[in-house]
Amino acid sequence: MTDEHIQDTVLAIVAKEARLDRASLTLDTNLSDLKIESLAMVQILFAIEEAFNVYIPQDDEHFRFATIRDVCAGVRALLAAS
Amino acid sequence: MPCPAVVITDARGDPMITRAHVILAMVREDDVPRTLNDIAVALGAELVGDGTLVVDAVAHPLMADGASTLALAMERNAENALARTRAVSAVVAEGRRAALAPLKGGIIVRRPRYALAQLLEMFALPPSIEPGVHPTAVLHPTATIGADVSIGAFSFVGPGTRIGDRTRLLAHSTVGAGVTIGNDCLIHAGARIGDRCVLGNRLILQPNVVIGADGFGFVTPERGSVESAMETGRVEATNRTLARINSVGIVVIDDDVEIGAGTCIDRATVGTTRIGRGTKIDNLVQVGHNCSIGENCLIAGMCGLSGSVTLGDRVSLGGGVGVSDHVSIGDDAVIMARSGVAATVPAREVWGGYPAVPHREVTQQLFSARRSPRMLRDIEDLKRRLSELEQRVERS
Repeated sequence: MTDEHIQDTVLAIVAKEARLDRASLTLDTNLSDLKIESLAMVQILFAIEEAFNVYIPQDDEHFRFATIRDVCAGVRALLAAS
Repeated sequence: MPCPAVVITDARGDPMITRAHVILAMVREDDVPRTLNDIAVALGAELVGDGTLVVDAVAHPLMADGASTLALAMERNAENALARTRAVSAVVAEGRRAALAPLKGGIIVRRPRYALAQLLEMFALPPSIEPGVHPTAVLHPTATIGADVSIGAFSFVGPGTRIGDRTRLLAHSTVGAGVTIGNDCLIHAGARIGDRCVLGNRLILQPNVVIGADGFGFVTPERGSVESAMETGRVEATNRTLARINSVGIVVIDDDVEIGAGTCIDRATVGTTRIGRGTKIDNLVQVGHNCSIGENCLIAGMCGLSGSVTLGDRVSLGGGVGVSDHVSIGDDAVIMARSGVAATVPAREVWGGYPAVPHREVTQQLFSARRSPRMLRDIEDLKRRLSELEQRVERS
């Protein structure tokens, strides 16, 4: 799976679940700036798990991210480990 | 200022919505016209452009009907609508200065929803009620009515009741005997306030609020079905007779409380059901007998508090939360919508779910539920592969 595919998928998921314009998001968008509610954040994680067929660890240390680029890096690491 | 019946029509010329609907608020009759600069100063916000623009209403950008309407564009969708507004000034959020470029003026606010609260305080229309006592209202001769009180049509004030200065009691409201209501309260149409209840100053009771109805208390002479179910999980007894437990207590509501339409605050069995200063309660909330609610709590619609629930100060309950009897929720705790709280919640924690658990566990539960189908498929796949491996081993 290419980095480009991961990035496009994650950006599309964040835009859809947070109900934002996809064009307004970049890899360096800080998630805290998007004011995403906690339940919407859970929906984003669900969608990422299902899109990439991965299980995101439930401990904070393994999947902590500030930007969308960090999310993509986390997905890449999970795919590499699976 | 009267609201002219301007009608907006759809493509076929049919009326869609009137100005009365689309304008959020207009200048009060007794107010002088405001300029954009006046509003910026009142909000403590940054003025951009022409501060002399006169503003007589606030509305969504697409609902603005002219130059004197200030467009509310603090949210992104509303901001996008500024390109098509008839307003010449707008309020936008910090960091969104560029959105004001096509307009003659604007205001930049740091905290949009707080600014909205301040703006609508400036522009809110007062409730429609004449000064004084309406001829159809019935006041008991022993009731004491303060200065500049308004009492609407078909209202009733019982014996020994005291109503504070400038309090307004709208049509069809009833206040029982021996009630105390403070100054500057606004009691909307159809509210019911039971005997001996005590209400502070500056309360707002929305239509059909009921303060001081009897609590829901019944008991069986012998052990009943609910007791046996709680003790053993089985129904081992039958409720043949239900004896009423009368409510002889009262309700005390402190200053600056607002209670939503149709909400009921039951009187205590013995003692006091108490609502603390500054607490805001939404529509259709049930507060049972002997509850004690702290200061500045926020309770959203459809919540239900059983008897003797204690909320600390600044507790927030999302919509539809249910709280079991005798449960305590600590200061500053936040309960997620539709939760069922059956255990003590410590201060400053976020709880959710049914039964409610700490937020971290809620997230884990959500993940578990959502992942279950995929995990079952994975297990089936692993079983199949293991079986194939075993067969290969047996054959080799």
